[in-house]
Amino acid sequence: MKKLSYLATGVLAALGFSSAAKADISVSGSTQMSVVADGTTNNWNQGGAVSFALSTTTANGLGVAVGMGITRDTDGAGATGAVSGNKNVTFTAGGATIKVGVMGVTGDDFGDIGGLASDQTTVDGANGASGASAAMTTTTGTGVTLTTAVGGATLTIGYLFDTGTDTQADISAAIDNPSGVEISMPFGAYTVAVGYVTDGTDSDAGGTISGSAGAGTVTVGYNTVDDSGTTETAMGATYAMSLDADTSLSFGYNQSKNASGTTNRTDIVLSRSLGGGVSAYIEAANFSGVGTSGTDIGIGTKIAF
Amino acid sequence: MGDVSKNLEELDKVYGKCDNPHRNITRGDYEICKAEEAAMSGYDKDPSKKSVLSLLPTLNRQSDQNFKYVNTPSINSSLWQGSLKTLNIYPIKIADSTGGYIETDWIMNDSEIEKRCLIKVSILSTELVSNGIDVNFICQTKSNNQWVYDNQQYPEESKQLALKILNTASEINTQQL
Repeated sequence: MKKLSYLATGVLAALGFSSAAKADISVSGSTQMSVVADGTTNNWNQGGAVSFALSTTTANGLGVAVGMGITRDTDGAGATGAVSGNKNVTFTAGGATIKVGVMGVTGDDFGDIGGLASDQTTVDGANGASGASAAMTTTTGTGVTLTTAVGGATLTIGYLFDTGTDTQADISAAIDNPSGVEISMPFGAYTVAVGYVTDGTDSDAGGTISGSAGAGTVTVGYNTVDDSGTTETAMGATYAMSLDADTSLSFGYNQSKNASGTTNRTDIVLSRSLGGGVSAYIEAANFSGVGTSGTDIGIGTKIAF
Repeated sequence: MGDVSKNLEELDKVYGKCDNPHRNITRGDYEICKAEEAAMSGYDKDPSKKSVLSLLPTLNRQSDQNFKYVNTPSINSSLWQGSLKTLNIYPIKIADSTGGYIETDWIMNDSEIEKRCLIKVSILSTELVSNGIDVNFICQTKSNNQWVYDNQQYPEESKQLALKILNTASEINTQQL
């Protein structure tokens, strides 16, 4: 990420350090290109994103941040370009963070892990389509979240007062308002994270446990969703390790069940940093059970700017 | 009450910054984050993590007459030179090029003789990246003829100095190309 020279210039005054420069704009971006083979077709894909992080600090120390971006979908044909962001604002003060605007539901999808291969491989690839999944109906809306720390634990509570992703929200709408909570804390040699959200009709609960194992990190998770009376579950595990200073290897497994049946997914990702923000990778995702079965393989590169 | 930023950094070490459940980043930012994460070398990641190869028995190099040790730099030279050039106006107490650490001596101003500060700079990366440097100000005030820490953070000043060092390092890097 590079910082634009929008900050106030001037030599740092010895001891009387200038506090006039508050505004900051940071730009970052990435592109991803690969060849994806799904056993039937081989496709070339490219896509990426540019992100602008705008931040400032008020005279009394309140931090304010907004993000905005331009994206070109990385997955599949007809990848569209879109402007995103500037739909929520984050305020930071006294060790706590308040976010207002369009956001994902707090407490959603905890424990549903194991999918490691990138979307460019699994969405462009034909396998895994129409597979089983566990998900609430409402996953995005307009609301507010509060994140704070209690010792070594991190707590986030959230409330949505309208569903949807529009920049204008009806805060008096008579809807089922999702409320959720997320807690992460160290637990001995492990880290535990749990999440829960309910809108009065549907609910989602889950958690993960992570810890060091040998030369890497292992994470196991479990998630259960009550989708209008139907129970959907997902469980998964990941293991990530470094082969050397620049090469990482990760394994993932996920099993999802819903009314349609069970889908199993096994991922492997081998990635190597080439320096200068460039990395090369080879990854595979194998799908079996409900949905299109087979293996999607992607060989490509990611570049971070 | 704890420190959210510090806790989030600890969770980043476990889950990775991109997959930290409390960061809740957008899809576009997630793709950028994963690209940055994949591009990080081992020196930029958690240095306490051992690689699989480190678990293998090491060879006895002393018996290899033809073996030559290659001195691999552990810090970015442009960042190092940029830091030294930027802090050149202040007295330097510590300048460790191996560990990538610079510490100035106490800096005082004639107009505020009851206050002094020192600057600590750490080079964190072998590449010229914006997060490859860490700057921290330590300040003291005089109380009852004793110097005591003022227990204040200076994030804006640290950020300004880091940006100045990055700009200087970028100019040096351009000249060297």
